Amino acid sequence: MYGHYSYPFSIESGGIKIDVTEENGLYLYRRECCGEVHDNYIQAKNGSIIINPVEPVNLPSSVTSLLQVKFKNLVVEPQSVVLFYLTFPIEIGVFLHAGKNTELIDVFSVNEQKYSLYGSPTKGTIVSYRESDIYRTIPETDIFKDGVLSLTLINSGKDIANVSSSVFDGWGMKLYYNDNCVSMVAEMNLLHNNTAETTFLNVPLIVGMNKSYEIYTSRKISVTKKSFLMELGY
Amino acid sequence: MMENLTGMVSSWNISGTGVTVYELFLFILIIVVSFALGQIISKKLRKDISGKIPVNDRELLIKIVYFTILTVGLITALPYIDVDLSGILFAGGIIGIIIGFAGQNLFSNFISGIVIFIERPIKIGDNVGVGDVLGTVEDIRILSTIIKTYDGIYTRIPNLTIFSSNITNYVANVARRFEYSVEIRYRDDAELAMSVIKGVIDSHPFALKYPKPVVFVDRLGQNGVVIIVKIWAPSSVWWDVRRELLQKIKLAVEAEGVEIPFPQRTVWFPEKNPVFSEK
Repeated sequence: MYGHYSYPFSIESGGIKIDVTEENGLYLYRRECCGEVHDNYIQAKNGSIIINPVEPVNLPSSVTSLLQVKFKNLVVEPQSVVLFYLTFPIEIGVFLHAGKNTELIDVFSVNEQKYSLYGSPTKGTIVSYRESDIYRTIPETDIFKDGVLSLTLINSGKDIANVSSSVFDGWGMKLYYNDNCVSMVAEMNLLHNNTAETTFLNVPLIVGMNKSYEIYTSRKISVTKKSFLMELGY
Repeated sequence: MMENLTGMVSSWNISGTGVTVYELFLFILIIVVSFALGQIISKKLRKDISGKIPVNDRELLIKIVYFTILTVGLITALPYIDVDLSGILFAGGIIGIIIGFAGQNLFSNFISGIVIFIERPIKIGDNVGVGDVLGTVEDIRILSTIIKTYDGIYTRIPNLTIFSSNITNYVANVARRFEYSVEIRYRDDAELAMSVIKGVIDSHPFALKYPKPVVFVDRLGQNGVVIIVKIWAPSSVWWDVRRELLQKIKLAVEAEGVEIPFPQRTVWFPEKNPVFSEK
């Protein structure tokens, strides 16, 4: 389902149906998912549609750009590096590409969203919330529902660290996909004073994966800060 | 040679006045420097505060700063061309006192506006309560703040009033808690009701996972068992969440056969009541 399409077209997969039909000189984009129907008229003769996973921080409305993935407590020895895999919820973006412009026209998900508070009400921040198991190998997932987050945890300090959550900034997310997997690759560097820094790497998890078109790219927002500093604990 | 020339020029008198060319030069120089300084500071100020306060207030502030610099320059320069400022200053002093009395409130509001601007207890778009006015901040101006009440009324509050009032900012913190009180019949299963309520809360995206929502039996009321529900939500959407969840909770508990009790009274009459026996 993910990929580039010239319209008119019709696709159906994983309980999601997307079609673009011509109606009196205009094109009607229609998406059906989880009992919800979304319509959009398109007026662009030589355009195309891009469908791919996007940063999972947009639904049901954009109240934060942060994603928190919570997992079972992991005790990490000093001066060590550990690689493991988590899952993250997938949101699917539909972009209209016409001329030199690409514009987001729809974003949806088969997942239920949940939000949480990272830190305190006065000093904290709202985050999109996800619980995940810890996997030592790449887990198999439904590519319309869950993505795989490869996380390299670096404890360069001299103390044992207890880690049970990671917070990532959606502006720096780099998503890749193929027919079997949607992925992001990130690092989490444990700093002193219960602080950590998370950064996304612009590399695919598996060689040959396609890079997703990202929402912040379509919004032409220049991203200067590509990492997130977890100052309120991990 | 050069020193002689400078001395000669500086001692030249302009005919009919006691002003030398040198003094005239200084007068013009000070005026020109004031103009230039005014322009530079105005431009810098415009750049720095652009987007932070409304355009009208920004331009007013810039004009005040610009003309203040020019006035100071003029007062500094005038003595060089033998203009006696004592009379002007005396008159200006009296006018100043009159204006001061008349514009006391204006000045208080202006200073309060600056303090509010620096302290930032409220921002445009915040849901706030100032005194008995509740609403959304539409604009913060130099002298007053505009609040649109929740029923759409335009309310202008002088900045001095804002400054000296208790301000409640409902969205200053990123999350806030709200509470429901759900009463069920004594015959209903409170455990079941609480479980259903928790399920409804869990299914709502903006009912925050952490801090955890709290559901507990609070008291045995007159008509039923009172269950208290406390939920945290992002401040930006809390009202929508509060509005949606109560309806969902009501429908969910009723779907499980749990009902909200009506007020009831059981009245007992004595068997040998003299009032009834007379009849």
